[in-house]
Amino acid sequence: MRSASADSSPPSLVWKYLLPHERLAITVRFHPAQFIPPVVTVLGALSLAIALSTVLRGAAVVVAWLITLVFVGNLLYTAVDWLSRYLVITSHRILLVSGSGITLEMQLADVKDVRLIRSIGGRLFGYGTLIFDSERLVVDSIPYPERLYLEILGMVYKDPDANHDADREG
Amino acid sequence: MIVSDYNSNTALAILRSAGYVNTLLGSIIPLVPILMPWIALLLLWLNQVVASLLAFAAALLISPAALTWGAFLSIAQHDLQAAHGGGWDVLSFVLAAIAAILLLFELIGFGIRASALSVGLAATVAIVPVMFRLYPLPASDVFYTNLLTQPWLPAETITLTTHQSVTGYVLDSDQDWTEVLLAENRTVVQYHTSQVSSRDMCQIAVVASERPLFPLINTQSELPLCVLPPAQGSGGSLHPRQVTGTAPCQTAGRRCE
Repeated sequence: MRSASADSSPPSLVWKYLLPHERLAITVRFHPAQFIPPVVTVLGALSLAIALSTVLRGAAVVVAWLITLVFVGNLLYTAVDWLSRYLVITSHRILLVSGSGITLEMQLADVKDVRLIRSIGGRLFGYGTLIFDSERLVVDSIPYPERLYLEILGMVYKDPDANHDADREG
Repeated sequence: MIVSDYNSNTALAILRSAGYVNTLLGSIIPLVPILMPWIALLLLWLNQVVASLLAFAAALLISPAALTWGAFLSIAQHDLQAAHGGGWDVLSFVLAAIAAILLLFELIGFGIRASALSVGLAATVAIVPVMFRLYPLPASDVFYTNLLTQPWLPAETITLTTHQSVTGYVLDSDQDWTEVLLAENRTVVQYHTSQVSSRDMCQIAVVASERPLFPLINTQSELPLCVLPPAQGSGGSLHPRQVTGTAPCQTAGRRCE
């Protein structure tokens, strides 16, 4: 998991959406397991296109390879999209940041409950689904789900004693 | 417009005679089986796996195919025999094996729906060339010309009291007039109903070209083939009123006198 504190260097894509007084707690990319479906499609399509190239002729072969090319393009798009998508948790907000901007946002103060769900695939590949506020915000394909879940819980349910200690020290 | 041979006057005459709803439904319904394979493919590309499978199944049963199942298998067998592997087949097999292993992971991790979609999308590489053979695109192939130009009405051989016959589609008929879209030149003519001695349904095209890949009923239609072209003059001495093609009748309405 890539977790960045305020003094480390978060991706510039994330940095530009942070408020001056906002402290960056977690920045994480989504789990790469989401590559499996497009990779299966591309490998299957490539396999079929190669096999058909020895059987078919003319326009049919061109069409088969064009379709394969579309799938390869889709895989590349998925890769580029994955590179530029982050789940960002700051001292104030939960954000989903992508190349096109902030796609989802929720105030941390509004979060009443957080749930973690791990499907069979999630347990197999190591990702989970975080559900904030009874499905008001659902974030799928989160890597290191337990660790992230505890960190988020720690931010949502702050230890009241810690505040008293801080006040006394202040 | 296709049915009227791109003659707007004839199209308007059909619209008036057959009614708006009938014309609309009659224009759309025959297109459904023709476009069904391509609709199925589109649904698959739009991630609608179940709908796509249903549409493909419907296409196999109702869409007119350019080849029979036997002819298709024969061509496929011939192509396979003429295949030149070279070593590419080994690469193809290796890629397929890796894809199969990943598919197993996908099945466990993402469920059957996502896996079916991945398999379906990959399969389009093989499905589309096959579809080009079985269901040629209407825009680029003459296969659909007969299907698209046929109206939704049954073709009929209309025998007149003068023993002359015309072949066409009866758009409307009442006690005074019978309106017919002639199959030969796609003009709309009117006959006095009293001068029509008989009307017999017939078949314009050969049935085999309209059959789906897996016809549910194997019996051939027993309708006789229409006699084309019909007699010159389209009614001869009875002087049918030609609704389309002459200037006064184009604007005179349904019963041009």
